[in-house]
Amino acid sequence: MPAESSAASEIERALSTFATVRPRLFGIAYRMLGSASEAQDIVQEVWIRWQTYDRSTVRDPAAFLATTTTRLAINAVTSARVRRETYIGPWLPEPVDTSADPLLGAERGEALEFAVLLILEKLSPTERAAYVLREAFDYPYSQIAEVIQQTEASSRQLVSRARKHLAEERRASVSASEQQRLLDAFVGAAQSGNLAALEELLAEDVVSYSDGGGVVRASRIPVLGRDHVSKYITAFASRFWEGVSVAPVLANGQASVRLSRDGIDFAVVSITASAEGIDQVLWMMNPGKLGRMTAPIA
Amino acid sequence: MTMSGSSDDSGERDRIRDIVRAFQEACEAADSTALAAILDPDVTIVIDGGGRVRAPSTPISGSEFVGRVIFATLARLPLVAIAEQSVNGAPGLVVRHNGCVVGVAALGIRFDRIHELWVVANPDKLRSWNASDPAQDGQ
Repeated sequence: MPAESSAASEIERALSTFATVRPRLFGIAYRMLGSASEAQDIVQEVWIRWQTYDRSTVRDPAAFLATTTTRLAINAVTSARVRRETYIGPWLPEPVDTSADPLLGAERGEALEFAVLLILEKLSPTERAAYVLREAFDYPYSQIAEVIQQTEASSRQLVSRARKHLAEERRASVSASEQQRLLDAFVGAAQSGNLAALEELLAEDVVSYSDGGGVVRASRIPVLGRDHVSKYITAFASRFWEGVSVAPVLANGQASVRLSRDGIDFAVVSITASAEGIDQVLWMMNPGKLGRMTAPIA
Repeated sequence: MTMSGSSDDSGERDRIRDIVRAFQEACEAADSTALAAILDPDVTIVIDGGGRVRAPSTPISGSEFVGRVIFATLARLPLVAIAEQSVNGAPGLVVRHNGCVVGVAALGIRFDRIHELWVVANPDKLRSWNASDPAQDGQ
């Protein structure tokens, strides 16, 4: 019976297609819900739909299955949040064992850690989906737009808003005393040209800005990334810090130090930090702005 | 420097693993001095018991209080085994009692100290950790 056996092999194909993308589907649903059992239910539901769907109309099964999973997860987030309102005590994500699959079906192990999952709980379901598809699964914005049924521009905006939200949360959680501690350690490492210590203090995506106002020699172009910034700072360490005295000041409410040589102020260095480390270093050396921006700490 | 182990930097992962190991040893030895040395002064512990096991109903902050919560909890569970394991992509800890997983901890590490401790003790959320075939649920 050729018809029957071809139907059987078609089902087998459908199953093997599904099995291939299953870890990814679970990875998406888990990052959306922070619950392995709820994610499992969604993957199960996708499988049922896939079995009964007219698969001959599907051009890209992997994309189709991921889209179905994401949309089901977006709906499930809302009801899951309602249920959690009556949860007894603090709610935490269901932990997953990542010794076998560190990335959980993703290109990167992003959006998996407790710290991030807990912040993702504060995003709207659509925002969360856009962020997860982009950061963990490296989806192009055009495809994210299709999945969440929005324009490409608004998908970009959703991801960027989510990123900003995460950065803010992590920044807000760094206390003033911690900022001060980081600044002190940073100045110490910069002065001694200690590359390893600098790398440890800087966030991976740190940016160093200099303002020389065109009067003082300073890099006009921001220096980006942990490697470049730490090498940049150690490169000028020996000349820059010679005979310099360092005094703590508050500049725009930020932890800062004022640098002077022979009793003359010539720079103010400020940092901002998040839980990732120092994410911004500002070297203010513009003589026109130096006097105005600082107030000594009483 | 990251909050935990998402970075590819293997030196950083090793450092985090050292802290996790030091934490594990301090817990096993009930050594409060060793514990205090690796807890951030502002550390917070959040225990999710889901109303199923005895646990503080709110997060608790401050290294002294957090230390007390940890030791009090461990004192109620004699003969527990604590093992290091990868939890949600970062070094974490698994607590077993009579071979059964009774707690899984994820750690937020900041500037080489533990800043957050998230402990899941709700048995409903530990099912995949106690499944006979881990591939079935852990995937």
